[in-house]
Amino acid sequence: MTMTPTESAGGTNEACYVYGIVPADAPVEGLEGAGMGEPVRLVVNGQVGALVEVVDPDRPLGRRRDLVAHSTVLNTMAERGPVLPLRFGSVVQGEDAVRHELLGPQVEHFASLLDQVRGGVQFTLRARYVLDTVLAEIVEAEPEVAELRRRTADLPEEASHYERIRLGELVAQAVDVRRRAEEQQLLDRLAPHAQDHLVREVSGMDDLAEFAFLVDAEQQGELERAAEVLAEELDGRVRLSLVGPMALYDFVPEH
Amino acid sequence: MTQTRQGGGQLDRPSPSGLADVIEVILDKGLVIDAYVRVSLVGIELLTIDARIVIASVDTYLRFAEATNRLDLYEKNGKDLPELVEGMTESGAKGKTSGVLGAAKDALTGSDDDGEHSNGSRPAKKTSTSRRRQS
Repeated sequence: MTMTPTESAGGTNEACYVYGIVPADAPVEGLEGAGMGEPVRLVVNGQVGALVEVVDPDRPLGRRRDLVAHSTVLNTMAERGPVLPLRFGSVVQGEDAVRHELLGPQVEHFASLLDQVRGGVQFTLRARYVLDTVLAEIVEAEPEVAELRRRTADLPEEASHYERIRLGELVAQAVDVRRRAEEQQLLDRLAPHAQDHLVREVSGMDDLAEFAFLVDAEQQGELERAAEVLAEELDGRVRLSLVGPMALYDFVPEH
Repeated sequence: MTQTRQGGGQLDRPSPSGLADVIEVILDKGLVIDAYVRVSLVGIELLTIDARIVIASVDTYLRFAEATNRLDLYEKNGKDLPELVEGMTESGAKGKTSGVLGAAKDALTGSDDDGEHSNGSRPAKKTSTSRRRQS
């Protein structure tokens, strides 16, 4: 698809996808391939600008590329300076509306929010059990689990249905007890290296915990090292993955 | 973005642009433009479908039981499942057992094996991820 770069004539009624709000002098070069197909550009009003891309209003957003574009554009800008992410799927009708209706009444407000988030980036840390290691611990620690496991192992599924459910229930509870204790231990080790954090709910069988951290750019190395040390310590039992730096999706001040 | 950094250690550093992470991170996040401006949130309904599926059910228990039974512990007389499946000389009864277990395993894990395997999406969420991608 060929694009017409910087078609900022204004007065058009194009659908403008708005990624987020940045300072008016934010560098937006190098975002050519990052968006949904058209160039990503800045629509400025006073001290602030909106990162926009013209989209087809009749095409529902939600392709893989749309989601990845939203994240890539915002994360790239977050490495360059402060960004306020807008909710995925925010579309404004026309560049004039972006400039005068979206930005216009809130230039001061956005500028002050940008000042508040300056220097901050977000990381996500996800911890997952190496399930076989933890299950073996549980079999060893809980005689009832070991017994049920022995009894059901050699029986056909139909003949041991309720015992299997009971076995699974006990194991699930035991995993849960470990999860709760270890989530706190992980947090105690990592939270001191962040300005703020939040704990996300996890739901997978092997999930241990997931946190979002707000860190200062200078703190970034600190958090990364702490996570690396933890990952070494836990190797073979828990796998850690650290995603970031990203835009502050979870830590944008309310108002 | 190409900032995946494998510092040589055990810490995994996936790129933030993997689809599973993207969905996780951006869903329902960010400033919402107020209604005073001509705005629409397009396509949102595609994305708010049960992002979290709580798994605390018989199905979960059976999956835990299956995983626990599958463990290859030394106490098991050195016979683990693959040996049973491949053992040509095993008794009919045991052969049948492993067949049933195999089928149950397929049934339980089947839905996890299709769809997106981008860096470490989790079982409970794959369903919604692949559903989303149909649109």
